[in-house]
Amino acid sequence: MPIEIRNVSYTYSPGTPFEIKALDNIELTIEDNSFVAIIGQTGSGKSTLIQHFNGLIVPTQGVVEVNGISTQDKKDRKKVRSQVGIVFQYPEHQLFEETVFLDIAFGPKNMGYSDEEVKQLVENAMKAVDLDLALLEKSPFDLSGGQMRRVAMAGVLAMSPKMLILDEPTAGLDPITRNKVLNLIKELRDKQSITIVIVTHDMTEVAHFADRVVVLNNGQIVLDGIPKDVFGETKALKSIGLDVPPLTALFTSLVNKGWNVPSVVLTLEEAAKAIKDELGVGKNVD
Amino acid sequence: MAEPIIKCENISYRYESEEQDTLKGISLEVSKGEFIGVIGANGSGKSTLAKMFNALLIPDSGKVYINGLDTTIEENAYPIRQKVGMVFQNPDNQIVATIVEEDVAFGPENLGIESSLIRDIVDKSLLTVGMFDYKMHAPHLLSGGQKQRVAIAGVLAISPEVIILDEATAMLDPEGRREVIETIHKLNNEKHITIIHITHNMSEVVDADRILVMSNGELILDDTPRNIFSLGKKLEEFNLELPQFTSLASMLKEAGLDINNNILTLEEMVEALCQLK
Repeated sequence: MPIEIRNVSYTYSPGTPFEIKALDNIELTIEDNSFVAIIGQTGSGKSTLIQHFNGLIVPTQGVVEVNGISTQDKKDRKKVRSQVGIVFQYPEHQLFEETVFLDIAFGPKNMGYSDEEVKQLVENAMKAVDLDLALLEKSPFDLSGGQMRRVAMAGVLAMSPKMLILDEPTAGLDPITRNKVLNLIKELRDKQSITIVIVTHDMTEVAHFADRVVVLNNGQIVLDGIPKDVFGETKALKSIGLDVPPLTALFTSLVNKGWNVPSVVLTLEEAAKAIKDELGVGKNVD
Repeated sequence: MAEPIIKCENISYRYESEEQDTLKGISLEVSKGEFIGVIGANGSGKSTLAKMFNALLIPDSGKVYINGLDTTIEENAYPIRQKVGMVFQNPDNQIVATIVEEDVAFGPENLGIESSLIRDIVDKSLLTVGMFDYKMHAPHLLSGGQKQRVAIAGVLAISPEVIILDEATAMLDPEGRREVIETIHKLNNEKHITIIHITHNMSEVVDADRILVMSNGELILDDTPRNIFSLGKKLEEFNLELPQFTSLASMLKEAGLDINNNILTLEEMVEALCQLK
């Protein structure tokens, strides 16, 4: 179920003194089963772009098609929204029900599933985000921050989307909880074939989890490729205020110092191996 | 020896809705001019501890002294809050005015400072954080990093001795983070303002003077970044991780390379590796 974005531009408050062109001629196809990271500075258009993915915003110009269905037509939007779930920033702020069960069940109930089906969807969603079913009857507001975030994610997952869009899913989480959440997201892709798009500011996260990076600047796509290629563009990234992951910075320095190592390395394991190879460690052990 | 600017004596605290203490018998001292990093898992008590430092919260037992002033004494709250300013996580929740300079003037105005002096205070505060050119701008049109710097200027305008940043970089893009980090180091180096920086990003505290590690309401480590990060994998028990270069150094050391596993920064890593070549 690909998302096709053809020649899309979006302008906020057109025709007023506050007119802002947030997206400028975007061409983008999100392939099935991919894990895409969207990066870019605050104000580069990331949030505006992802809201086009399920018709929360429709383009001022151009076309967005989800599995061949245009988001332009109001009648079709409900269908699109059942397929593309968006988890917004700090989703735990949007929890509102009395119990974890009721909160997660809200979406599927509104979609008209039977009580039995809703129960099953809620339990499956909780399992998918590694939440203990013992929490079902607890108030979501009594949970820890990491748990609350996962309840909010489960609420979107319970609608069985084919595609999940997450806006900064790890902001404010401690390092271990962050990795846990990212691994859960990756499993949704690997085991349930849910296409994943995340918006993030954390380049290490991108290097470890994404198989494609789309870089936005001033409403335009400036880079688009696999992490290795995109992070190789150190100068281009710095010029628009973004970072490369720390290991990439290290290897760029080493290459500049004459080391014969790749200039972009994404994981610690790759980095250790490249350094050992270059220093001749592990090859001719005494 | 000079009196510590912050002193906690065996403080404990429990929120009404909670079944156990959020802070459990914490004792610590911070000297004037120190740059302190505070790290720990979500829910470990970092923010609660920070709120003790400017009398937003009062301990159930134990004492907190700010420059010798006991926070449990009500009359001390105002002078303490003048000494200790706070910057919070969400830049949109802490700006009150519709023009940058009015926002910065809010603090000194409330302190009853003469308006002729306020002009000067506001200009100087904005200059210090590099936002002077934006003084007539509307805050909502600024980037996250710029908003946080305006928030810092607002705190600076009351001439604090301590600035606490409670995950003030969590919602920022890389450039915004850099701006805020550079600004607080500048305040620390040039104005000798004591900084308490709470964060989940280990690389932001590698050059702190000291790191406090919170776990489950207890202060479990209080040491230099180098000593703390040389604990290696043990830190994962506290939901923390090593800075990337420290992780890489320990992997290389395990593989038999003659490298120190307490490397913290890119520069140190490049230097150490080039010595091996």
